[in-house]
Amino acid sequence: MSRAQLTSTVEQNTGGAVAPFVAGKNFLANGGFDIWQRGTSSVNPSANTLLADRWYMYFNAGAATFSQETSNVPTGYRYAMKIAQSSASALQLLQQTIETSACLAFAGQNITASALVATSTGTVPVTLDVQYSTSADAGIGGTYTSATSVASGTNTASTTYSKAWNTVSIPSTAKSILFRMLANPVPAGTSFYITGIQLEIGSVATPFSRAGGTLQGELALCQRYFTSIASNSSAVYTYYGNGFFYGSTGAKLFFSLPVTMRTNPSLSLVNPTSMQLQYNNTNQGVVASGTGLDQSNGQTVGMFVNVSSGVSVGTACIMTSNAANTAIQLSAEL
Amino acid sequence: MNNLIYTVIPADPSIFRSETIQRTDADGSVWFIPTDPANSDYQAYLATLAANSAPTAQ
Repeated sequence: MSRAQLTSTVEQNTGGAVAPFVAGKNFLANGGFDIWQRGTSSVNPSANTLLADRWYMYFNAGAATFSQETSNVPTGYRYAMKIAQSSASALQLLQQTIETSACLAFAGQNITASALVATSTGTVPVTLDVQYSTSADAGIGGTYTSATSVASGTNTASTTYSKAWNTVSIPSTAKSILFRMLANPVPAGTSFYITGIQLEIGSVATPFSRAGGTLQGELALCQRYFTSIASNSSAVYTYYGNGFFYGSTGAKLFFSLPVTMRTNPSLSLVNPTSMQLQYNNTNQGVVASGTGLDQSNGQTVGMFVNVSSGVSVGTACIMTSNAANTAIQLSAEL
Repeated sequence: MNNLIYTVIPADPSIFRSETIQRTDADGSVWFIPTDPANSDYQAYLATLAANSAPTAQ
């Protein structure tokens, strides 16, 4: 337990001890890189794609691999993001957007971004840039303006983890926030590591706390934007949903989502040809082309699923997979 | 994102299906996008449509 801090050096001396781990203090989801629903490694990702939940990736030259790091992590953390720059000196970037409903409290306030950063060799300058938009829910494609920095740390990553921080002033007109971490330049042959990313109201970089408060809270927060319903890794039958055949080769299915999503999500099937529609104990049809989204409302999803073989109209069915590499993914990213 | 291919899947009232947008990504993954103005994938689709229909300078 520690006392709340009034400034970077003065602790609050009234009101008793205050735990630094407070749900909702940190406005950035998955700042400790606990949640990786899309996978744990991406080689030369396209601009503004995601790997660790909620973090858009970008690098501007050479070749880079973004991956989950479990060895070189600070004390008290299980994961970090590792960005290995294998050729050319490059700018590396992680970004996260914050929707309007979550960040209106920033308007007219000083807010502080912080992160634990390290390198495999040498030093790399780090910038924690906070940008704002006067448009609601501007998203990753929006137009933003950098907020004015009022104080910052040295912000240079070296071979041991250190805390980078930057306090900025957010105008009262701000309606959307874009947080950007820039490591630049990262020389070829250097890996950059980052975890414990936090954005909080006030002028002090306090100890990291998960935005969701707990591991389950963090997962639920991430699932507001992206949900992956993945098959069992041991390749034992996974059941995705149930429905009925409206035609001899077409069925309608529905399933419920674990968390209400931000908006009606987009849908993708991972390895759909390893999925089947089972309609009795011995017969099943492999999912075929023409499968797609029917309706979604953020809480439930309906799908059209086609199979090649004819089935009696009105027959009930369930969608299954006996492979370890299938998933239904839903995206309501900002 | 680059190299995205969009296909409109029309509504089919006979099976109560609404219009959706199919997007094929550079890595081959296929996404089905609802025509919801708050869905950022749909916003990107509309932006692509607008950019492609914008008149070019003569």
